[in-house]
Amino acid sequence: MASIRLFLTLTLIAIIVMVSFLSSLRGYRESMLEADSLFDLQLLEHVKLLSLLNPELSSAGYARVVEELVLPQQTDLALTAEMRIAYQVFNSDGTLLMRSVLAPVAQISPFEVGYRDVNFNGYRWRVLVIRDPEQHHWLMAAQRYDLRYELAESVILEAVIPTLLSIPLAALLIWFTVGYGLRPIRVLAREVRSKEASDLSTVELEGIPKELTPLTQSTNDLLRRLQSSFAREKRFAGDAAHELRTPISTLKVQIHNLQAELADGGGNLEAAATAADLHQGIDTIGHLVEQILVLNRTAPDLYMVQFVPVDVFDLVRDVVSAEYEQILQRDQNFELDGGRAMVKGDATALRSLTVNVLTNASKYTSAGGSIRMLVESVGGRVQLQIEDSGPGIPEAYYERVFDRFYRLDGDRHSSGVSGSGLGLAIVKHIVEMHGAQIALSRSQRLGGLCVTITFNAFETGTDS
Amino acid sequence: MTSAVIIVLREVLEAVLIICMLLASSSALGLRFRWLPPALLAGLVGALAYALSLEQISMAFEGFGQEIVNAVLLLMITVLLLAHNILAMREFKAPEVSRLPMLSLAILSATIAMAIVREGSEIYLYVYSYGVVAGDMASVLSGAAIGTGIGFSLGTFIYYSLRTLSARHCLLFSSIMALIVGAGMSSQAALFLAQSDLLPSSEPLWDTSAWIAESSLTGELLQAVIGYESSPIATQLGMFVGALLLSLAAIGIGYFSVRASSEGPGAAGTTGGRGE
Repeated sequence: MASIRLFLTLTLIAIIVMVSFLSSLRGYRESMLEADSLFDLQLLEHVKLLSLLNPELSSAGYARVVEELVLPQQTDLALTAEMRIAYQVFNSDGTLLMRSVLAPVAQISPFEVGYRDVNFNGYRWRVLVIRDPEQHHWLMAAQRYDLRYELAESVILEAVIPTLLSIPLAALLIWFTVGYGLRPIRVLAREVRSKEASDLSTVELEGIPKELTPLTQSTNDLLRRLQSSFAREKRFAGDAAHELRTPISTLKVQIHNLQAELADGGGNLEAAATAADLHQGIDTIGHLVEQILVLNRTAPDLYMVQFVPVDVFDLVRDVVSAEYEQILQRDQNFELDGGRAMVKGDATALRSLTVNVLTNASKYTSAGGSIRMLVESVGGRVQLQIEDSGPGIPEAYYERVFDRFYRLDGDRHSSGVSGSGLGLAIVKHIVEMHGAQIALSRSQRLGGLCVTITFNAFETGTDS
Repeated sequence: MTSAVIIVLREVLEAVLIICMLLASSSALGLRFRWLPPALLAGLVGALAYALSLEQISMAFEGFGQEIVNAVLLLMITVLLLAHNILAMREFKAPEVSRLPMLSLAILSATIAMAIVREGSEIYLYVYSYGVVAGDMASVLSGAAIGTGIGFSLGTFIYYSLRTLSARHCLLFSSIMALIVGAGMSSQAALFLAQSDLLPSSEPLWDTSAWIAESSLTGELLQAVIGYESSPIATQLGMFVGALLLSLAAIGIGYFSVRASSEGPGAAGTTGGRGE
């Protein structure tokens, strides 16, 4: 039942056709039987008239032959004119007294009273034979069967044909009526479809038919629940992260002071080491909070983006120069290849994406390892690739690492890697926001992880 | 008019049964109906061409051309229905696994086109000889319209009844219908071949015309559905039973071929088992 409209139209027409055609057929057969008895009645009337004529043989002893009466306007009664009756009158000893010009000289039926079917003149005829009670004449009148049939059918078809011709009209009317009846569904569907992803306001329609009221009500209930839970989630994450920023900053300052005091105090080495650990812990929390804020801000359904043309290569170069200190600290080789590659996107989000993939690579690659970034524009696509010589990720985890807060069991790295487990989740969000694809694989060149992000290129043309 | 209704209804019903059954199968096989208009058009063109060149065709094969062409058409439809049964049972056993969309499309289109060629040309010839030549146009056309209308209405009901079934049951029912219709058609083909002395002819095995006359409404409708013949000859019965057995074999082949062809991933086994 792919289309309700088609289903209703077809089945309704089928029902109408079935009912009306079968009843037409039934009516036709009954009417044909009725017509038969009417024609029989006509024969009877004819024979009655014959009995009034009381014919005699001519003086020469010949039977009288009666010519057909010719109507002045034959065309008016073309069929009835054809519907001529052949008749014969015999006297009681079987001598032909009179016949119509249509009837043969030979007797057309045996001398037995009643209706019967006979053949003469090359046709089949319906004959009525009656014996005149006074003069005891045999009176016979006959009609051609084919003409009776033709006349009856032409009359009855006049009633059947309009039924047949009305079906296409009925079909057209049903099609439009069903379409009109289903209009509220179309309006509702259009209303729901036209809503923006971020628009969770309820659907308001006037004059909704009562069959659709439960649907609109439950849709609106759903939208309301969705809206409030979205709002709650957004507020919670945003508020929590924001509220945490201040105490974390305060903690950082206090730890800094504590470390300074410990250094001035001339050396409880143990306490200094604890303070250093504390400092690192707080850094991790601070990073986590920042990441939550980024994620919250870039959630695609809430993010009202203003996409502009961005040169990914330029952007990557910027990010690298900002983060280069970390790479230097870890004594890692860094290489950046490629050239100008324009995409349409959100510069802040793309920067966040680049920072995340770069710091990830640096974090998980051992000191002295290598990192390579490549930005290239190939046939309508822009590829951003980052490879490292780190331990990589087993293939089975390629999907899971994009989950929020997911981290591979036990840090692969012993050198105090701090991570929130949000980095790749943020990267994935931003990738989806830009309609791009991200793929993880094993680096052929460096042996570690290879992250490939493919964007649709922005066709620059004359503007850049 | 009544005879026009009955004759046209029989022809339309034969074609409509096949079309509805295959349309229902088509949607159960996950195919869209884009193939239908070309198949219908091809069928109509073929029917017209056949009817118009009937004179030359009847002259061929020592005057048995029409019988032989009719028999060939009927047998080809029977074979295509066998092929349909194989496809339908594959899908029945393992839904959405190892579908053969292009082959299915070709089989469905060819079956429908041939059914229309056969039944369409019969209707055209009837209307032409009784209506145009005998000059009884109003009566014959009204009868044909009523017969066509009733045939299409029945088709609509059959189609939507099949569609209310689940895809698997729809395929099962279509296959059973194809089995019966195919057997009826091959028995008709046997009669044509016996008439043209290509198959042995014999005395009728029995005569049930006292119960159901072939020319009665019931007789004509039964002929459309199961190829009813009141006094069949041995050849017809043989072909009928043979086609039934072949069709059952096709159902078996379709059913058991899927497991054999996709044992590797085990998909057929699990999916097939799910519905049982």
